[in-house]
Amino acid sequence: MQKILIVDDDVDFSDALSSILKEKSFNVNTIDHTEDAVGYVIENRPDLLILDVMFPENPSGGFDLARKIRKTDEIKEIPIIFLTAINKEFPMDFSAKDIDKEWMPVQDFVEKPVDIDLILQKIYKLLEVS
Amino acid sequence: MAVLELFSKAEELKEKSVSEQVYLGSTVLLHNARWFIRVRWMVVAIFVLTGVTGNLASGILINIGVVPPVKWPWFLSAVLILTNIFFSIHFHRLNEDSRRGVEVNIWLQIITDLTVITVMVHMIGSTNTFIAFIYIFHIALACIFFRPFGSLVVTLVASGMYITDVILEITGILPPRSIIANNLIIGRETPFIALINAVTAVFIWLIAWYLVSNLSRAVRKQDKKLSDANKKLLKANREKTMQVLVTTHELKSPFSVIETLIKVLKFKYWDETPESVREIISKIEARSHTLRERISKILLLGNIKIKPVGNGEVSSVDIKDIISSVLKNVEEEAERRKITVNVNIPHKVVCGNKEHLNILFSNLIMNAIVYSHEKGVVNVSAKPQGKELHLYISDHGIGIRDDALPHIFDEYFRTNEGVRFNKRSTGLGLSIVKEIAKNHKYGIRVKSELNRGTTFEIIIPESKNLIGKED
Repeated sequence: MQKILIVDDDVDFSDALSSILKEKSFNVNTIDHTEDAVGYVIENRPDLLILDVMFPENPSGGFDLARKIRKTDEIKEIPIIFLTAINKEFPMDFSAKDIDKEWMPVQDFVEKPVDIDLILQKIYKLLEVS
Repeated sequence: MAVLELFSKAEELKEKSVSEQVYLGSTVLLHNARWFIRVRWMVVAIFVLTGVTGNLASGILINIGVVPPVKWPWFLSAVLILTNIFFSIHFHRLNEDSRRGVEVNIWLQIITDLTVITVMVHMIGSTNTFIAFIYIFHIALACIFFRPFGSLVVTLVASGMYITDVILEITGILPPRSIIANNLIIGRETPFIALINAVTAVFIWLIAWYLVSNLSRAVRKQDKKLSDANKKLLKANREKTMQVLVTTHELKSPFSVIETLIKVLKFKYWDETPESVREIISKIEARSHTLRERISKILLLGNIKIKPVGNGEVSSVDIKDIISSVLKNVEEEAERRKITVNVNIPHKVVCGNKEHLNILFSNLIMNAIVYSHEKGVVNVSAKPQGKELHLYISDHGIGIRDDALPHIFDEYFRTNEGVRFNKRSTGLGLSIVKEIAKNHKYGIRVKSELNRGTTFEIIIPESKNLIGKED
């Protein structure tokens, strides 16, 4: 059973997504903060990470965590899907085309509200190729 | 039928920064150089008129005691014509980045003018007429256009040229001339009196320079203060807008989550949910979607205002590709309302921000669909007119009242008819269109008739309209 870790401060959202993914036979864990998240990832070794961008303790917490993961040898290959309500309308705009090894080191990008079929499709694709 | 036009050719969209005006940046210097050239053509016309009068009405002039100006006005006008042609050619090769070149152009113009004025003063009468005060115009202009040092240089050069002329006349190196026929005046004037007159004139110029340059400096200081205050206000406004945007974004997140949760609910439990509950959930979903859309538009408008160029920057974009991509986004709504969308757009490459142009045409085409009656027709077409490209989006829908038309681009403005027809309207779509068109320096023309329909015309000017590959 493949392991997915959801890192999002919105517990309602994480639980809802988690329930869908569990139904699709994934082993899902959730955490609601980025502090010590690297340690958690090293310990649990998920096959895929679904990561929110903004956290109350750090507005760019998602970016920072993704960059830290890419710099940590044992977990740097884990695919990451960015999950955010920020989109082109916001001054801090970015989108899938901005994915960059240094700046935004993630594999894909899904905008909230999440289209369930779309995120499932992306998850299957990333887990197959990884 | 009422017509509304925005950003037409007459409207100058170039906004100079206040600070640039205060410190006489290259744009202002270029403007001044252009103005000097224009004024010089008027002076040429005056010289020509003087020459014509001197030649055709010499008898009358002699009778009233004036020496007819026969040759010198023609000579001076020829000098001014030649130098002005040179300045024009030099000026057209300059741009706002070549500040040094602009300054050289202006100083050459000043030296030429002072030389021409000195010759004219000599011919009209350097000390026995009041013509020497004509230098004051240049001194006053220099005080307005330049810093005190620059205007002092102009004053000293003018004084130097004038005093030199007077000394040359007194010493007999140059024969004294006067437009006044009665030579008694010249005969009465001793060299000492002539020199006193000349020195007095220069003294008056220096006083004029001191007063005008000080006044000018005081005005500039005030301008600078205003400019700084304006900058602070703009900064504060920008910060406030940013705060509003951040807060608005905070509002958007919960609605996104609500929508996601409803999607999850539909995904997992929809089949086992009773119809009555489904209906309520669908209403919650629709309301949440509308609110999120509204927040998105507020964010989009704020973003375009704060960052006019946008993330996608400006590039060459094929207008046909933009319209095709927009049509894909609106086809679901068009099908739902049974609207036929006729498109006749050639391949034409224009200059713009792809994302913003997508939003602009999405809003206009979606509006045309939404405000059309069911089974209506929307036409999207383009026509080159001269060097401009005109795009037309027209519908045969509810139209806009004449008195409402001037307000349709105002934020949150909605007509009663519009609200009745489309309750989900945010009143921000056309404000977004206006901001994007303004940033791109595109023109907008709207023709509308109540209950007949509306045509939006987007005018892409030549500079934004790159070489097109025709079908």
